[in-house]
Amino acid sequence: MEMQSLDLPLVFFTVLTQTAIGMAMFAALCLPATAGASPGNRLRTEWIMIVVLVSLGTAAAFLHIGKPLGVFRILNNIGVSWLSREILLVGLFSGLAALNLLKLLPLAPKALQNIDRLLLMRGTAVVGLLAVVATGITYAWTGIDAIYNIVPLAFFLSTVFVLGAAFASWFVEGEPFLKVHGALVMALVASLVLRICLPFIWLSGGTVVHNSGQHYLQSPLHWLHILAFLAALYVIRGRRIPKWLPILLVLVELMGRTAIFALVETSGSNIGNLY
Amino acid sequence: MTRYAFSVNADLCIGCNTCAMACKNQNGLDDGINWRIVYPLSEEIYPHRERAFFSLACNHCDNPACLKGCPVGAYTKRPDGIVAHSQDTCIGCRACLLNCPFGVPKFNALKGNVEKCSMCNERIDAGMSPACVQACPTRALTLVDLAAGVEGAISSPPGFPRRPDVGPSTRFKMPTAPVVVRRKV
Repeated sequence: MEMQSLDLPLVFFTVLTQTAIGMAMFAALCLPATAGASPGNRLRTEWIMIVVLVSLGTAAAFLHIGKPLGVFRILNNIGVSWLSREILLVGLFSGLAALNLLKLLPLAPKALQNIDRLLLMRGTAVVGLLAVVATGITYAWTGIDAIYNIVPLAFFLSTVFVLGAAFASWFVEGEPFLKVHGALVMALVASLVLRICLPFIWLSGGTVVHNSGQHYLQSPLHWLHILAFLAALYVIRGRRIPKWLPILLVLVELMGRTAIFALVETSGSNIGNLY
Repeated sequence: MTRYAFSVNADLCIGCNTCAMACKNQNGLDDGINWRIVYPLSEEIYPHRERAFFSLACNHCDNPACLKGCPVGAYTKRPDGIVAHSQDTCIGCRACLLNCPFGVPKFNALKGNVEKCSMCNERIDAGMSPACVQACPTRALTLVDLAAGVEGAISSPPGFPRRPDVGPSTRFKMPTAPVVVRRKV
């Protein structure tokens, strides 16, 4: 059986942009708290990270395209194509993230200074979440039965919350830190439940979906992902989040995303056999 | 209104791959790129010593998933049912590869774009048959008009993804049990 081809640029694109969106979301939620001792530096560092991550993700997406010079045509089919909508929303999020960063710099234009910071951040986070929804619908590929449903969106939202909360822990302290910690625990548990149950649900499907479940259950990537999340839950007990944990979680999410790109089977790969 | 479709008669097909070769020659396809593929049916579907085959290219669906997912609008659905693809417009994002339930579009890494069967629409417009249909030595592969009706054909045979949501136009006739010829004792 032929599985879908592994596409590393898309692995990096989805994980890095979703990390940036998660960070923007938690930055907007924790803004009053970060406006403490030295809000400028802390916020600036946070938004520099967000802009760098979304830029790296977008650059990775370009590596996936066969004719990158033709990308100006990507909005041609926005009326029906969720991929067009995804690209538009990710582009909009990138622009808004850059505006947030610019607003935190001393050279920010007067017009930008007059915009309410919290409103801009919350608007950026909402656009980011819409981009994740569009990505989730786009990646529910018609030709891959196992994920032609809500599964990609569930995976992507879990990445947003896990990595967003993990990185937000670098920039908050006190009461907001405890909230971020709680969010990380809930996101890890929800992600674990999803990852543990899903392959077994797939086993109950037709041949192609069943095979996807089997590939998952036989894959070290899948089990390493689960073990890493369990270890992360153990490490963050006692209401603390080590500084190195977000980096480890990004690597784990990249591994998990590689699994979904590499292990699910396409419907067309089984032609000539029973479905 | 004419609604063109391929008709695959698996009872007549001998798996000679002439259709696939004719397609490759007609369209000058690069190495490793095949718009038409001859799939053998597994023993679970055709439990005989003789083998049976489905010769498949694009199914020119009623509701093409490739067209709906393409961000640059490289796909168009003609009034006669043919789903045409513009290689000049395509940017090689490969969304159609993942959206097509039948694995039809192929990515050409040399050109950086996707390719697929166009049902030889330029030949059809000139009053000719598609190259694969013309080349088939057993007349297992034919061009039919769905608007006129196709007697005894099915659209979702065993061994082919059942996807009424996209509505593949290809029609099939399943293979019958092989005739066993024995000498009289």
